[in-house]
Parts: sequence; C-alpha cells; structure tokens
Amino acid sequence: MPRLIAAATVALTAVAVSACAAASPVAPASEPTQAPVSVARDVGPITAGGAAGPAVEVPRSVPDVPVAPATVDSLDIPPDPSRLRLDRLGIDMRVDPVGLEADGEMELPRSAATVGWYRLGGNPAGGPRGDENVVLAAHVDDAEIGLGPFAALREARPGDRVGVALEDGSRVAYVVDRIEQTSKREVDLERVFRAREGALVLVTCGGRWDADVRHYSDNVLVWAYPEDA
Amino acid sequence: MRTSILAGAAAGTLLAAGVAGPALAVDDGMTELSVLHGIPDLTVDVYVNGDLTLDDFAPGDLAGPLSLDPGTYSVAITASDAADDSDPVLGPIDLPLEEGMSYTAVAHLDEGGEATANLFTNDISETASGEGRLTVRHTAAAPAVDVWANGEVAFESLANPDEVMADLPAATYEAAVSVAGETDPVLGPTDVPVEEGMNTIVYAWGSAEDGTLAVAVQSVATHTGMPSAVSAGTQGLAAEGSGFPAGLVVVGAAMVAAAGLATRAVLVRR
Repeated sequence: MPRLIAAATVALTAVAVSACAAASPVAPASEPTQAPVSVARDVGPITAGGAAGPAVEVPRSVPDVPVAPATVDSLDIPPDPSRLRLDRLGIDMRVDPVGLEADGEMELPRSAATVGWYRLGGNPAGGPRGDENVVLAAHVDDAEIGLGPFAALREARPGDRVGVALEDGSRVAYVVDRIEQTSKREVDLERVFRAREGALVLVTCGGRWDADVRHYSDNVLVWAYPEDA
Repeated sequence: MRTSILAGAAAGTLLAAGVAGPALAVDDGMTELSVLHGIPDLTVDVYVNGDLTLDDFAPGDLAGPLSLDPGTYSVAITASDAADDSDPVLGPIDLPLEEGMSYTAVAHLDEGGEATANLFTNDISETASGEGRLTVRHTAAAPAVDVWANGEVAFESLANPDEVMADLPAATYEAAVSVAGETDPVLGPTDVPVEEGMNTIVYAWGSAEDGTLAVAVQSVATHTGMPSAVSAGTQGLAAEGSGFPAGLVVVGAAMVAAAGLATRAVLVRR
C-alpha cells in the first residue's frame, strides 16, 4: 500500500492499469488485410473559377484538425529539458536525457546533483508524445557529494511550484499535487511512465536501506501538473 | 507497410509490419490517422463519413495525426469549391482503421500521373535503444528511384506506390533520391533527422514530367519500453531510521483549491 506523504486531495482513485508486458497483440495475429485502396480517377483540369456548380456560400463548421506543410522544418521535435527547479526546496539542477540500462532499469546520471529525464517518455514541451507523463529521476545520494538535492523531495508540499527549463530557453511551470512513498515491490511504474496525464513525476529512492544488496526499499514520487492547465 | 506487392521493392531492411507490445504510441483503444495531400496544383476539401473535415487542404500539407475510434471511415476528396461530397474527384474510399495502429492516407499521383489514394500503415513497433526508424514512400509520378543516405545508395529501385524502411542509429542523415541506376539527384540532398523512438516517414511526391517533384516528411512516435525499476540511491545516507530527517509530513488535503488541483490529481486521461 503506497504511503501517501502529502496530497492536495485525500481520496486517490484507484487506477486500473493494464499489464506492461502483455504478449497479446492489439492487432490480429495474421497480417492485417488492408487492400491498397487505390481509386484512380481522371482528375481533369480544375479551373480557377470553379466552373462546375453554383457558388453557394454555405456556413460550414470544420473540426479542429492540425494541418501543416509536411516539411522537415515543421517536424515537431521538441527541445530537451535542461534544468529543474523547486525554489522552496533549493533545488536547481541540470537535466540530462537518459534511457534504459542494459538490465532494463532506468538509466540515471552518476551524480546525485544531476537529474535524468527519461527521453523515451513525455516532454514538457509536448511534441509527438503528446501528454505522456514527463519523468525526471535522480539519485538521492552518491559517493561524492553524499545526500543529493533529491533527498529534499520528501519535504515537498502540495502547491510547491516546479519549473522545467528547456534547451531553447522556454520554461514550463508545474504545481505539486502530492508526494508518495511506495515500496518498490508495489510502486505503479506503469502509471508513472505510461499514463497520459501530462504529469511531471519526480522520482528518487527512500525508505529502508539494505546494505547487502545496496538498495533502498522504496521509491519516492512527487507528482506535479502544469500550472496553466 | 502496405500489405500488397512489395515485389521489386528495394534492398535495405524491410521490417515486418504489425504491432509489438501494448498500444502506447497510440492512445489506448484508439487508432491514429494522418492524411497527406500529395497531388500538385489541386486544393481540395476532404469529407469523412459525409462531414467536411479538411477545408482548402493544399498540396504538400499533412493533417493530423488524429486519434480516432477504430472503425472503417469513408473518405471523399472534392474540389475546394464543392458544396458537398456528391461529386468527389477521389473516392469515396473506405479506410479500415484498427485499434492500436497508426496510418497515413495519401492522395497522390500514380506512376502514370493519375490521381489515386493509398492507405499506408506506419510501423510503430519499438526501436532498439539509440535507434529510430526511417520509412521512405514513393508516391510520385516518376519511375523507380534509388534512395541515398549520406552519399550512398540505401535502397534500390523503389517504385510507386511502394515503401521501404530501416532502423538506424539516431542521427541526421543527408537524404537524396535519384532515378534508379543514376547518380544525379532528382530530389535533395536534404537533411532528415532520425530520432530515437520515432518513425520519420519521407515521401517523394509530385510529377517528374511537370517538374513538381518534392519531398514531404512526417514523424510518428513508436512504442517505447519503460523501465522495470528506478534504483536511485547508492549510499544509504537517506535511509529512514539512520538519523536522516523524517521531513515535514503533511497529510490531508492541503488547501490549494485556488490552483484547482483537486480533481485533476486523480484523473488519468484515457
């Protein structure tokens, strides 16, 4: 049972999550039979005046579909996050993009003074991954500096402002909603990494320390949502 | 990939289509559709199931991606001054869109210069770490082409309306297109970014004869893996009971009603 450290609301709705490693494909196992839908018509000349048909002015409402020239320049490649700030906690850290370690765990910057941004997930600036959650994680301690800035995450409070600066100079502001500490055996990483809430999730470790395996027992999660949403 | 003929399609890595793993790049339970207008000199309106959906859609424009309920959609393309879809220039065409899949419908010229349309399935299966996917589609009124990357032929003899794809280390590639067997580019060279976890899809469109050959590009997110764990601490200095300050534990509803956070916190958008 996750231990709720602080929350803006008392009641948390239990979220049903689908299995991460489900083997069942979402498409039929056999090759989808999509016949190429070729319909060739002689287009014919289209005159500027629109010769055919009356010029009827009909009010039409068209749904809001994004349309843009399909050029390399309009490829939506958002800038990387570059800095994370939580002013009340004195956190002001560099952000580096990270992926997965060979063993499947999240890659993390070696130094506890640097935050890793899971680059295969959401981006504060949006982009093709849309409203997938943005995940930032850092070691709570390391051999060089001892306790790192993320050791203060447990002291975050609902309402704290969080700022993420991006490489292009833009910034996105979030507000902390809740802080959770959960056993790693039970933590819902599906929701952290896969939910499409547009949340910013700050992750580190805490709880009991097992000196034999050199692991903490818990994950500490700070959930924040865009300030202007 | 298109399900039909790939005979004569190029060398290079041809990946099997299909979805690997849970539907993540596409919203749960939904399907994803983009529409590319690849017919030169023809501004059109696009009707979906009888409703005007794209107004004054210009050549070279890409609409979407749209997140849609899975199903079969009837699409008609009319002249841009048409009052309705009763006299389309293309269609109506039925597009069967399946859950968890990503598609691009392309209106384009066939090799002979006739207007046609094709529904391509975008491969959004997971890429390896550090790699992205490059897809190239020949949708131009032009003979078979060779596709060049960084000065070398990457795919040979790609014909209309086929496609080829390959997973590549994430980087920017200088891409060009020549008539098959030739070296002078008829398109490009142009820089094309291949991003990790993305499928960058490049189209050759237009008419060689009319001098309207052009490149269109779109990118779609692929499925990505997620970490099995986050192990974020190596020294035990933050352990509870070790003298590490317990911190200020604030329980209950903090009064941040002004920020309107209460309801947002518990909603997972589906």
